[in-house]
Amino acid sequence: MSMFWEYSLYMLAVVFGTVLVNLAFRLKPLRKIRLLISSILPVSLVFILWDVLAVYRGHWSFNMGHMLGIVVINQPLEEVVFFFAVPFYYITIWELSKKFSGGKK
Amino acid sequence: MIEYTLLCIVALAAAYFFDHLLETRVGRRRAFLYALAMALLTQLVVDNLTAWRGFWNFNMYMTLGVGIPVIPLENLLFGTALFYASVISWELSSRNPANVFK
Repeated sequence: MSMFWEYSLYMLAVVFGTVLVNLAFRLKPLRKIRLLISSILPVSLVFILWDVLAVYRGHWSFNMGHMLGIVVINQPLEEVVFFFAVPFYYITIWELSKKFSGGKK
Repeated sequence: MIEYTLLCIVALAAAYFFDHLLETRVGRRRAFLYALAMALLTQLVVDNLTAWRGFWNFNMYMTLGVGIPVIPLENLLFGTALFYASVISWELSSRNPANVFK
């Protein structure tokens, strides 16, 4: 059974879970939100461009039955959100990993 | 043609190149391996679940055809490149004293 809200639910879960981890361990990304956005933005733009190219060239395709149906160029809105939510998650686990590895080289 | 595979290799090589050029050198740190392992584990679970649910369809003619177990190997390389680029960008922004967003 297809549920149009399913992908957006995953994205909400990623953001919510990542915010919780940031709050629980008092991590830098959430405290330095402008710095976080400024570092995510260039990466997101490059990978969104890759995704647009990949869909255009037929590397993969989306099943819109699991998505809200809002399309930006050839990307569902959730996929665009993915490229902001996932780098936030990645930076968070990087900071967490640094914290627990004691800054070892 | 294995276009997806080639793009992943180029992206990973570019990330490695920028990591050295910009002297962030995150790839050499032990924390990088721990965080990458966590990122890949999450990706394996979530991407296989979403692929099984039919969120997307991969064109296996654009890949090497190796599935882990459902998603193509290239998808993990894509995730690794995104992880590497995100961490480099974060470290670069954090250390730059001229960054107005700090």
